[in-house]
Amino acid sequence: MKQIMLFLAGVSLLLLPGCWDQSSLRDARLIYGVAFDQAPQGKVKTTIVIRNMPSGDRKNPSNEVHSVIGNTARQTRDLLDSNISEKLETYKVRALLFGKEVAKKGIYPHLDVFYRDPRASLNSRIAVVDGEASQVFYLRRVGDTLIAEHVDEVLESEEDAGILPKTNVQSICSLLLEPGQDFLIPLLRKTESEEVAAVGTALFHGQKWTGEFNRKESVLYLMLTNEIEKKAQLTIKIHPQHGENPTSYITIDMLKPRLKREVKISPSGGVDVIFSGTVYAKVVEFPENNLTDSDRLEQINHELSRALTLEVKNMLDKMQQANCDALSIGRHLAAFHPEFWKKQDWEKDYAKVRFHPRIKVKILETGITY
Amino acid sequence: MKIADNTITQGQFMFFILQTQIGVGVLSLPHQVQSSAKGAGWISVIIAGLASQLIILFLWALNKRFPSSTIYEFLTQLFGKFTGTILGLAYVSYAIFTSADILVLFSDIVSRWILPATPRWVVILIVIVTCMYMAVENLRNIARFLVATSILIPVFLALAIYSMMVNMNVDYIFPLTEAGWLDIIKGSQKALFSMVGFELILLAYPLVEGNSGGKLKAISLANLLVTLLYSFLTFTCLVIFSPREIEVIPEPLLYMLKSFTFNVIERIDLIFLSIWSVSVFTTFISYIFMGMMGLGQYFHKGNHKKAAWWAGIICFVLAVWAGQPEKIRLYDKIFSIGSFIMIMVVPLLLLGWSYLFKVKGETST
Repeated sequence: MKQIMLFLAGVSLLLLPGCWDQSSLRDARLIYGVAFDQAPQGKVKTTIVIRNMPSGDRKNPSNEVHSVIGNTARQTRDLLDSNISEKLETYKVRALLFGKEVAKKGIYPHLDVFYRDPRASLNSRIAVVDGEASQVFYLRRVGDTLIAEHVDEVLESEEDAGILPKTNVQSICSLLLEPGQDFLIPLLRKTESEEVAAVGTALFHGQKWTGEFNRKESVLYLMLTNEIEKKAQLTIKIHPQHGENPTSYITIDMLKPRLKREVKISPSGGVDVIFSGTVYAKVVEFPENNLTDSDRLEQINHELSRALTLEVKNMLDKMQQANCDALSIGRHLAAFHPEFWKKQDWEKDYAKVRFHPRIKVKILETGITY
Repeated sequence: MKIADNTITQGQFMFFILQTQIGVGVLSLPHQVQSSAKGAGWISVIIAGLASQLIILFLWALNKRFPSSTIYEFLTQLFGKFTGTILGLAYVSYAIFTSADILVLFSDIVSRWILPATPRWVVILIVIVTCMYMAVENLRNIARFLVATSILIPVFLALAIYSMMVNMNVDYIFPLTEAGWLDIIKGSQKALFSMVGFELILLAYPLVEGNSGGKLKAISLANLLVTLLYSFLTFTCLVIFSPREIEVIPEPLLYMLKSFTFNVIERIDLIFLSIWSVSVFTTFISYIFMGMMGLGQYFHKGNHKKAAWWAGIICFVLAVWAGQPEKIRLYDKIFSIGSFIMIMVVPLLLLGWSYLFKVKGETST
């Protein structure tokens, strides 16, 4: 009996491991980047970047870029699969790009397959391209880096610098589906000199692109949402009277700014949102060069606070014009003032929200000179 | 007596119940409670924990009247041989059906998440064959195994805490009583069925060392830990996913882990699935053991090993049959009604009967 059991165990060891579901790396073609663009007649153009694994005779990794037009994201992948030897696998997708036209029409239809497929990677970075997304991938490589990795690295370094929000396929899903909440996606552009630049962020309302922020505005946005992990740099014009001159400007590092947000409902039924707090800063450039005495520093603090508050106000106006509730004011109202929220028509009422930024700047360090 | 080398300590008993309670339901629990209780899902889980504590008290009171008999033995004492055997067989069917239901849910999740091409019957067969090795052992050996595998529970916790720190938004659980208390209670009903497992006390009670108070403490502690763990995991999912999103995700706990990456491990959900499988196996072992003990008692003169073959085969057939979603739902329904009757209604009636007719087991062995 024991011997029979041992024999059976041995045989099953030979038979059982990964019979049906093996998917070996050898037979797979890994997609590293996916881009969606609008094609004529409501179709979608999918562009993929495939990474060729370095093998014996081929030392340097290389990539291939393919495009195809079809009805849905999944169908285009199947079409591509039929053109390409071996099987396409999406579990290593690093960058997912949307062209401007697609982003204006709505991005959820193309994301659905990523949410539904257990093998798809939910942590790939996501970005919108000002123009055709496929154009970015057809750069093939920038410097020594393959394009999909390059895009991923650009986005990552900007996230770390506190300029772009951390976004991946999963993080926007919650925001996409929930009313009263919108989101920002990094905005890329292919430059004249055949490079990829992160120019700011695209504002979304629902699943559609409705506006854009430049880099400075997106830093200010991240400051309001307390998402700046370490520090973020900001150049502000504090002395407009000097005209277009370097001396009009000051550049500061905001050191992990943390602001307080208050949402109030006024008796007349309006919504007031107050951002208050002190931003501690380090001066990294001040061409006017005069920070020696403390009165002067106090004055600069004051001027900076005023200038920063103004910039934040402008940024918030722009966001309201785009009807993008990326600060989740609507969701906050739904959570803490449910009765009030039920009476709101957020599509229209969001524009009526009054924002009151009250931000103070305090310079702590001035570098190694005064 | 034969029982002597088969007893377990109270600590082992605690882990035995704990591991039986933590099972296949944990992955879908947040989705299930959220669908009726909304942001108060975690409160539902706590209410369910209180309810199961109440049931535990009844089961314990019942067992206390028959301190040296398992359920299969005292049913005969209560109702005589014929009726007692029929009721006993009802408990056997309940245990075997529950084991099959566990396999159905397990193979469903596994085939959707990791093994889409593997036939379901293979997954089911592998689980049955491996678990049977454990289930033919006596209670002491099983309890030791369950204690050993409890190391994996802190891993559950650590992963949940990690995910919560990365990405959470407490606003999502508000307004707390959005669903209304009635729906929160309804949600707790669903949660209760993923927390059952404490009915194993009916079988294990006489085999646990120590006095009855200590046994109650052990099982209550197990229930407390499960309630806290489940409630915490539910809370985590509720603050990570927005309400609309959690509605479309049947296994939020896995989905949450799918989106995180460590430097070395790209897909934590796959690692987690393997850990969770062990929890499912332990639950399966406990239930099939309960079924086999009954079969052994009635058909094999107390030797439950001999029931292994046909208990396994029945389980396999039951589990393989339920391949489609409608049948899974049907099983789910049968299970909820079945466990409601078998662990709440019947024990209460038995308790009443035993008081009414003053039937009691001998106080000590």
